[in-house]
Amino acid sequence: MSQQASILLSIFLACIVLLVVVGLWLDRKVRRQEHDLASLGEALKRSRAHAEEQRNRLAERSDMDHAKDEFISTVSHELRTPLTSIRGALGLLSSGLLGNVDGRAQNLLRIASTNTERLIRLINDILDLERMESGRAPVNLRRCSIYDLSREAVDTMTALADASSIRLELNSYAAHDANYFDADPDRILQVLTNLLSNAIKFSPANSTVTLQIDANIEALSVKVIDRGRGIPADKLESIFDRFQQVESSDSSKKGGTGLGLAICRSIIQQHGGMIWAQPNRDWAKPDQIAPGTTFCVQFSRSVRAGDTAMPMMMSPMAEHGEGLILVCDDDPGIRTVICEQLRRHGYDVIEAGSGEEVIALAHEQAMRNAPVPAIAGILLDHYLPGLSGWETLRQLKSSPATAAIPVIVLSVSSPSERPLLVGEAQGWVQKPFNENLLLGELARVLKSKPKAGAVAIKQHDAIASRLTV
Amino acid sequence: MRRILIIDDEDDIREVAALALETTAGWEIVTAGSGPDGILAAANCKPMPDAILMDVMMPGMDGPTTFRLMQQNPELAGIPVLLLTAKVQGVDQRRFAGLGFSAVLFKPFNPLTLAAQISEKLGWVD
Repeated sequence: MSQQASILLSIFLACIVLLVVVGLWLDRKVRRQEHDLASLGEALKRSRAHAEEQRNRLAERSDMDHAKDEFISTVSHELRTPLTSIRGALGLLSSGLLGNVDGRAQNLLRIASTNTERLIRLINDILDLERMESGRAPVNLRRCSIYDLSREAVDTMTALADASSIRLELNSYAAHDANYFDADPDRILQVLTNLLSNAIKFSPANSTVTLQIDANIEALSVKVIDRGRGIPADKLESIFDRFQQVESSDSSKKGGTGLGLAICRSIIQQHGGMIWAQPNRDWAKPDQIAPGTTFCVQFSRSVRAGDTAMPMMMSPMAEHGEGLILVCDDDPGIRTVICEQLRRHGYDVIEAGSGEEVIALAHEQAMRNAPVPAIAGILLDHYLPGLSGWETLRQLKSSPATAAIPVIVLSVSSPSERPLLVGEAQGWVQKPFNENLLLGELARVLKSKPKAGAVAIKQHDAIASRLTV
Repeated sequence: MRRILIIDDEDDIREVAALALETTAGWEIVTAGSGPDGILAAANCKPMPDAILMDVMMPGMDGPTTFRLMQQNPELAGIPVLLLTAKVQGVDQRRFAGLGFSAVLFKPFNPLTLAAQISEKLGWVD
């Protein structure tokens, strides 16, 4: 009996010891979990504070950008206003419309007129360059033909060439279809006319300036070849810097501003291309340098600058898509066009005319269950009255129900102008866009996996919900 | 003969533009130095001006506001208005787009071709 009692007692004691051990272990585990939760809470607090700080910094930067825009716009206006009177007065006087002036006075008027024109060009060029380098001169990409643009540039410069007895020649080695690429036609024309104008200025009379196009499936290139005095090897690169000319007297003698090539380089870089100068080669004697210079512009068709700034050079052919797309633009006309294009390519579409509507529709769709399809992607106009595109994007991304929906921003600005928005959006299409560009970008975004940013937000929300339980 | 109303707060620009249009195209020019004066001048002009050349930045009432007020007056609403601006930045141009102006011309203009530019924008063939 006593043996039985001692066995029972030891079992009882063992149970108590076990309970104490288990209790202690559980207590430690609970404490550790509490500690974990506390540190997660801290981390969440820190990340919220960080997000707040980032948001404030963004707002400050956008204020600064705005102030700079205003300043440049005002300076430009203040410089142009007196120049308008000067140009008008000198132009009328030197035209002889108001009566004849004697030869010496006529010469002085000519000097004043020419230099006014030079000052106007200089102001235009400085502002142009400033805007481009600060990313405030968006390129408006559209499908255009390099041959047509070259033809237009040659036609524009023919009068200038004729005046200097120089022949302009356009040679194309590209198949018809290979001429097409996505570019800002006004900007490319600006580059081509600038290169032609330089070539004409530095060519001897009775020589030929050639504009040559080569295009294939990988690249597209334009060369402007002159037979002028050539550029010393040590200056081939520096001529693309501001106010760097081969000879210091060139700007006064040739009437240039010293900024033309810097502008050309900026424009070409904005298009994801390259521009450089090289001495001409005599193909009969390849080891010898022939007189004159060749300026080369090259665009690679494989450039995918979407990650940094630029839409791709060649949009992929629009393919058949599927899924429900929410299209938001305050302009009903644009909305109709986009919806029509999407429907034709197999997408289902719902429309929203404001940021508020986007938030409401996105949440409504997210709350519904299958078989009603959830939104696969949102096309969001950047400039919206009321809740702006930016604010809408932020709200979408900060709500767990809608954070994972990819958003493509439609904007007249280039992505490089709005780097902060790019971080949150999964895609970007610059207005005006063509159907291919839009559908290509949509297909790309829908195919790619959710970005790390969206996943991170979801994780934070998971932690937050654990903490509040 | 065409009759043009120039509204610009800069005396010198008004004078130069008027002289340029008179001498190169032989048009009759009326000028006003502010938005309100411009609206009065347009209303009192008999016959009405064929076109109005309007500055953007004017103290008091700016060009777009003057234009909007003119549009509310059925007598003046039909006169084509060309904006003449020293603001050539893209962002400024976008601000003017869609406001209903017949054209936007830029300062500094070429005095010898200003009349031709206006005729071209308005489709005048004479």
